[in-house]
Amino acid sequence: MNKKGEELVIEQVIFIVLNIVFVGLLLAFAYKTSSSAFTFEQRYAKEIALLIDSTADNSALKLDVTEAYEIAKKNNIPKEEMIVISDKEVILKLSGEKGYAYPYFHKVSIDKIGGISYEDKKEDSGNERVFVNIILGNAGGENENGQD
Amino acid sequence: MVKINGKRANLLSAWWILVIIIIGSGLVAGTLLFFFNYANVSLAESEILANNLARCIFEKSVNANEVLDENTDFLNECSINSELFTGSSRYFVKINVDYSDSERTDFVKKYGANAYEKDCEITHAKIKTKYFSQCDIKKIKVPDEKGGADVEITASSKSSGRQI
Repeated sequence: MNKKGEELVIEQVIFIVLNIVFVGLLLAFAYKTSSSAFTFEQRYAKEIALLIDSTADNSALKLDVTEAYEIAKKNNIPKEEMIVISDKEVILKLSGEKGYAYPYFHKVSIDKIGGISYEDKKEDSGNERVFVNIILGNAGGENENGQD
Repeated sequence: MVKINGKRANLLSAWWILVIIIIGSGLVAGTLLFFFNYANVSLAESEILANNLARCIFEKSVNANEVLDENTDFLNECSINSELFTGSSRYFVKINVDYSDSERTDFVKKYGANAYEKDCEITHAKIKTKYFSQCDIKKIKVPDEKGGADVEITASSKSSGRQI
């Protein structure tokens, strides 16, 4: 190959490599955004809100929140502050910056005594899973034990 | 073949096409990953709302041996937070009761944002819409000693959480 040919090939190769680096950075950014705390906050807030809406009064919900817990742990958010359920909406907070709130329409009371609790469970494979238990009272604020 | 800066160059070569495909695919994939990051649960929410109301109206009517009448506050009877249906609500519910007998007057009761009723016609025409509210319709037959009634429940919801 003569000198001009070599220069042309090198130019093209550098150009292609730079393009691949650019596309790689773009995909990495998009992937990071899609696996960020916001995505999981949104997902779990909606999931819990829909579960509360579709469940009968005086029931208990149990949900695997291991993924959310891993992100909260990385951002130094304690388990107790991860999920907050007010009388109107479910609030998820997995990072120090902001949380995500999603409303639910079912009129229930989240039992004050042991309303939300967390449970660690070790699987046979050795993995640890984290579950959240949510006790739903009826709209009058009583749980199934008749406590307010 | 054209001359660019005194050098001969192919404008359309295999390398160029490959580079354009790589960049284009990357841009499309990145954009799709970014914008499809949002989960729209409006349809599921409206289905749950319609189901809850249908079940509640049926059970309460059967227990009372009479179809619930126009004076009933359906939302409170069915443990639904009525505060969410006031002001700039993102929910809409329509309950259409059609009695079998002629003694009782048929009625329609609406709660929430009436503007969403039009959205139901659009989404029911199977037009895909991301920012419209999503609807579900349930039709039940409620028996009672006077002949019962056909009840149609339309529920609509527009999924919108908020960052705090």
